[in-house]
Amino acid sequence: MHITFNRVSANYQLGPIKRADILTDLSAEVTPGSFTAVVGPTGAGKSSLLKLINGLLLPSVGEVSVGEVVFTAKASKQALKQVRKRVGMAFQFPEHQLFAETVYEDLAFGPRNFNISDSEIDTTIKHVCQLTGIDQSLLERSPFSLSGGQQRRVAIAGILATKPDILVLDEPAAGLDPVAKKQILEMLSHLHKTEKLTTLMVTHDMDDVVHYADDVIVMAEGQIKAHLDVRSLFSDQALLERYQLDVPTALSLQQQLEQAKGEQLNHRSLTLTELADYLIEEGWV
Amino acid sequence: MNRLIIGRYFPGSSLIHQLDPRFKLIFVLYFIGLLFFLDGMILQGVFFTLTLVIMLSTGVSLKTYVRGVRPLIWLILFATVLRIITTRGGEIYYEAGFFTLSEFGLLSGAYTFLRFVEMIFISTVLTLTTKPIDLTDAIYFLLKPLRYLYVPVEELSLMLSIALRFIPNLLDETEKVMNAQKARGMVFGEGNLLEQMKALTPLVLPLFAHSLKRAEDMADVLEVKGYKSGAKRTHYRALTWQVKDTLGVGLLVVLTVVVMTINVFG
Ligand SMILES: Nc1ncnc2c1ncn2[C@@H]1O[C@H](COP(=O)(O)OP(=O)(O)O)[C@@H](O)[C@H]1O
Ligand SMILES: [Mg+2]
Repeated sequence: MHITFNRVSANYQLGPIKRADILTDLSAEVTPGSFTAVVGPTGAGKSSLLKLINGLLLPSVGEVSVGEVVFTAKASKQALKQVRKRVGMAFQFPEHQLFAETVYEDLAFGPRNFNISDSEIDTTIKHVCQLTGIDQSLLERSPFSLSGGQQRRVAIAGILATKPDILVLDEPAAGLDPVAKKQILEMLSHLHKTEKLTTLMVTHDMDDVVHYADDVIVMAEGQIKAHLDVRSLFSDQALLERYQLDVPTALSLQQQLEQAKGEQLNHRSLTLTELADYLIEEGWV
Repeated sequence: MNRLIIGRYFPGSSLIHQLDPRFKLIFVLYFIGLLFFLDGMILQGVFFTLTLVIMLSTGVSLKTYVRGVRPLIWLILFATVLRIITTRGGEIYYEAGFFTLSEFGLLSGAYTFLRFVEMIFISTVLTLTTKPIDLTDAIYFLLKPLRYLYVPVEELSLMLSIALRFIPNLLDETEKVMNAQKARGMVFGEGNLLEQMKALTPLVLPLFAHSLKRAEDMADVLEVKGYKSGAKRTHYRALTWQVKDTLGVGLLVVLTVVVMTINVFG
């Protein structure tokens, strides 16, 4: 499903106070089946951008289209429902949304809201448990009794249970230990590939960008400053510096080596294997 | 949740903002007390004007205050109507058993309405211009004498300031959880009352779970930092009483004298 932002501005109108626009004049297009990373400093508007995709935040100017549904400043209930069924959205710390008595009930919450039949829900839950690596024995447990990593899985499974075509993730691995983090991201990447989910993911970790994403949206001060593929981003030193973006571990290592040696290499390595091969090739080691 | 203005702080630097919170708290309580002794149109007018002047001098728009009254409007109208139909006196326009519509009834209905609105306005002024934490300090100060009655004032004020401190977090969290459930297809505010109450479970339960967790952490932190109840404590934030505040007390005295004089001789 196509996602397009057409000259969108948005703000959080709060009570009597007129707010300045948080997002200004955004235009972008996300192609179906792509994995897009969204990067930028805190407060840049990354989370707000994600909220535009399923109408939790509506544009004040311009329009957002998701598939055939178009959002402008006003959105009908049907349009919202339709889009929210198609878009699975995991907020930061999605485990905070768990509430039901059992894991099973929590997973069934989303599909029930979209009036899916009980028998179909049952099959879907079995399927998402498999996808997310949740053991069947956990289904009757209380979600509150699980470990942090498990809760995160359950929360993500609960989002997948509505069978979305688009997956929107706000720092899905924040606050997890390195092992759980890797597991969650591998799982999401696997889902993206096998279920052909169009995926958008906010992250601060440039290694994740390199490992999982096809292209990158760079945000700062409520604007989309660049939208380009991963390799072009890390080749553009000026851009990286302007928006104070980190570089992947491999590239950082390469830069340190270059500095120590007082020589500059042409090619920029993004992964450690790539760097190792390249250094051997160049005869540095 | 964003509509309730009362209880929200608007940073600013107006004269009202600068007053000592202890004075402001006393003033508001006393002012509300005086509202019950207003006799006649002149006094009502004076107090209404004074309330308006105070409100406007905070630099917050009148619209904001009016919005603050809106959530309570049904309660106010109920009290007003009750007052109108149960008071008789003066010229009687209409009568049907228990129900009367009389000159005095209409007048005292209007007074009741005004009193409610003024009460809300003036308390809103207090919370709009005083940081919650300063307000807690002021409450602590006023409750201090109760220590001699073995009331745990220190603990109460600690509880209050912790509670106030976490209100913004709770509001933020409410919004987040609400968004998360909306994203899962939940629709809030639809269906009959029972359905709406049931619909709150996915919102309230996560908030509870999270608050309990935080309370536990908080208790651990207090323990680790060696907080002991009943210990003698000094204060990090000191309140300073200024000339302005004394002048304010003067205003209260004048108001009292005026109200009393008119009540006795008017
Ligand atoms: N619910 C909200 N109400 C009002 N302002 C908000 C809200 N959420 C975010 N903001 C403001 O919007 C701006 C962008 O925030 P956000 O989209 O969360 O950025 P990011 O995810 O990149 O850190 C910030 O200035 C933030 O204060
Ligand atoms: Mg964010």
